[in-house]
Amino acid sequence: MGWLYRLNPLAKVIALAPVLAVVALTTDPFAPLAFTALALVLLASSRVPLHSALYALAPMLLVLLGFVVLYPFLIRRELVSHTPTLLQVGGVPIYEGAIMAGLRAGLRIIALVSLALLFNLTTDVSDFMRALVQQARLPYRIGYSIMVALRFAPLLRYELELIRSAHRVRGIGQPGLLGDFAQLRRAIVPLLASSIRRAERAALAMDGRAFGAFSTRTHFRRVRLTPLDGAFVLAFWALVALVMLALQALGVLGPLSFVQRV
Amino acid sequence: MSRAVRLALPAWTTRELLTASVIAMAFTVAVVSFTYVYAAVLGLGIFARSAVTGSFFLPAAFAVYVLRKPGAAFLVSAVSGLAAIPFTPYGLLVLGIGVLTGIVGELSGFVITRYRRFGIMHVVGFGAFAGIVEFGLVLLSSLRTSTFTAPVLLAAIGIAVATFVLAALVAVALAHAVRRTGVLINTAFGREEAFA
Repeated sequence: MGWLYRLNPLAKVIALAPVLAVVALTTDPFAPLAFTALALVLLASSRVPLHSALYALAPMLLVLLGFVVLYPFLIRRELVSHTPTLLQVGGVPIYEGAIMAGLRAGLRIIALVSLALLFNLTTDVSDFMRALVQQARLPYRIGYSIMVALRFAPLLRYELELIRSAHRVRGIGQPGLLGDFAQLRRAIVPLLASSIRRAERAALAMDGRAFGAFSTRTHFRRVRLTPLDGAFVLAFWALVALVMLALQALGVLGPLSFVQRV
Repeated sequence: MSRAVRLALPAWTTRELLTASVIAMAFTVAVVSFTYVYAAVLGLGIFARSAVTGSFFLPAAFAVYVLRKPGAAFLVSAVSGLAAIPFTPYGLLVLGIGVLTGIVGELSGFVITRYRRFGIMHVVGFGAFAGIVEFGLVLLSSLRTSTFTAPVLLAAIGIAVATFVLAALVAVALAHAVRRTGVLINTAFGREEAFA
């Protein structure tokens, strides 16, 4: 198992949250590219299968293409009219600045998704909940209620299949994407009804075992926050600072702002 | 139950916590589907993105309408985002959207409904308010929409508001459909309907 898997999930969130905010503020295309590369290198160093990352990032290339194509038609002309005109489409001038704005927005989203993969692909949700209860002081009644509900996930999936099968047996449903959505719409009411029934039974069982009777409780499985987690957070921030300093030195960082430079 | 726990969670019983959590789990099925639709239409620009963002409001709207309790929208919306993590590669971002939509749902629920007024106009106002706030928080910031022309921005806000209102109305219709199965009798909405 790679080193990212062994870290406390909270450490990953603490490390990533400010970096995601910084990436959202970037206004040049090079910073998002650098952060995407950084995320991919860290994933590879932690032996995360590359196809998992590509599976997430491939649709983002279409997003990038869409942004580059659409931004020239949506952006305020006075912001980009000082940049060279590349071509005319149906009488609308396509400015280089507008295409660059689309490119920047698309690359920023790719960078955000790439960095988020450091958490998504290496974290067990139950461990994240345990860390929230044990380290972040989330009231355990809330934390463990959510964990009980998370345990229902395979049951809900089975239940959903059962509902779909029942619909198929009755000849309801059609193939294709629209058919899938219609099926989801039909399934949601019985799914909610059976889930709530199951929750009530589980709640009675938990109350019967005095769940929530004490302000503190013991834990079957401990998730620990070790010095290694602290070192990861600091090292990650240092690495990000280093990348930004390098971009600054190369003159391609650009200002950090919510207002788009064109 | 100890005094400390009662002070921290004055009105949430285990039954309510579990009900809220499984409602979130059930909506996760929809949230995961919405995530892929969102990823697919993201490149189609601000209009498509505004239209799809409203679908993430469905769990929060359902929670406010059924549970009618401060914290319900946040809990259900955040847990539906959390539960989506293993099922979508965009997990952490979906969790972020869930948390943000939950906060918006709480704010809108408090300002418009006070968790007790649920006439049709309140539901429409609840969705519209949430749509405007979420547009301001998410779309305006992350897409740098300040660069867009005024008609484009107005149309995008209109689409966001319309989809959030639609999500709120769908949540209400869904709540009434689920109520007919009898499982909501122990919720605030179920009790109110039973005594109406």
